[in-house]
Amino acid sequence: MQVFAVKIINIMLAVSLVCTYNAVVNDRKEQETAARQKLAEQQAQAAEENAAPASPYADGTYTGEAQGYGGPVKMEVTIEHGQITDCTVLSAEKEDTAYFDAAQGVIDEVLDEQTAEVDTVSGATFSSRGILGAVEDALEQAKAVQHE
Amino acid sequence: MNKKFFTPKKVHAYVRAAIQLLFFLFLPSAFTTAFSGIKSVLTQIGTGSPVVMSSFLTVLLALCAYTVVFGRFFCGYACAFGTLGDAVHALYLFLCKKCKKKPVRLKKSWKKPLSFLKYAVLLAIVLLCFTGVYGEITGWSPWDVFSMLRSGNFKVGAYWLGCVLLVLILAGMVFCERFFCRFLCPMGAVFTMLPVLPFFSVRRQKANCAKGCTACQKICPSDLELPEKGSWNGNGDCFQCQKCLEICPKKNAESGFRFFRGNEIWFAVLRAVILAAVLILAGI
Repeated sequence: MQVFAVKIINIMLAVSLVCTYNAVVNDRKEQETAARQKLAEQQAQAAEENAAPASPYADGTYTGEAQGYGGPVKMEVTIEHGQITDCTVLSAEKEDTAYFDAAQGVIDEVLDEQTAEVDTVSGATFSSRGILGAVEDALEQAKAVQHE
Repeated sequence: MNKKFFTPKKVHAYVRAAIQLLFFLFLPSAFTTAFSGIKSVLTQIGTGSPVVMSSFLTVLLALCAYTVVFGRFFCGYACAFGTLGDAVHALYLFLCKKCKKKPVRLKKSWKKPLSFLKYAVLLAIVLLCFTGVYGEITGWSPWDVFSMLRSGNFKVGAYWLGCVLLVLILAGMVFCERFFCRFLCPMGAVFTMLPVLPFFSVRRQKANCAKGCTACQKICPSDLELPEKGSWNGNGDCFQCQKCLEICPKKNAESGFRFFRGNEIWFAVLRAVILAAVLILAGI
């Protein structure tokens, strides 16, 4: 019984440690985001007063394709007002579900950073590269249309 | 057909092999996915980012929850690596029989110290993830090589160290049953630290044993002694193969749940189905 009780206590300790850690880090993150938002608002105001720089992407919807872990990944990228507003998965048949779900975290990064050059998800490198490669493929098409 | 062909022992062995084969073909990535859960949590903590509920983590938690209830059934029936080990070891035993040679047996005194090695492996990987170094070193992981080969990808040139390690592990598996699982598996180390409920593990009453008989311990792939009935403690290294159950001459070894006694084979099938359902629902 003693061994069993010790194991239960271990598990509870580990879980409570992780939860406390999470709470602290999330708190800190919220403060950072609030500060960053303020800065972004100031920058946006300044940008409006200057002429807005032309975006390399022409508005529209583009389909890109690249090699993922087991097969091709197809993404649909939407450009509105020169900004990347949406990245949707069209097909990823040969991908491993758990890994591909984890890799979809890169999509948020792409929308935040407005580029396909973001870090891959740790542990799901091939699936991430598939998504990012497909997005890059679509963005290249958007660039080509813009330069016409 | 001779009636003796379908002894319960043989039937159980075939059922177990069939279940192992099915998991190997259809859910081979369970092991790596669950372990990726551990790696991702530690990497996130190491970089000071919040721990997010990724698909890796849900599979890991589901598998741990399953193990708390049913013990290391996953190891014994569903892990692709373990299945591979069982296959090569069975081949070795078959060849030994044909060549009339005695198979090698691991020295008893080595068992305990070697068992601790898997905690060292786990600790090493934990530290590497925590310090962010794990992502930098590529090409060494034998599990990556195994996954790639399993999915038909033979471009393993960059993973030469992983190949070497994989070959060494397989060599160990050939000569010593479940060599990797007992001594090197970090996921196994995690499982042994879980508080497993005693209801479904095989137990016995030592008072009822035949004098001097150690049949159960001899046939156990992990050389374990059966725990006592009514005790809450169990063996962290037991993966529910239930060979002990079949070999006991006094039918002293029994599954904790009265309902399943005598129907252990159906119980094994039921647990396999539940495990597959749990893994699929968790998003594998």
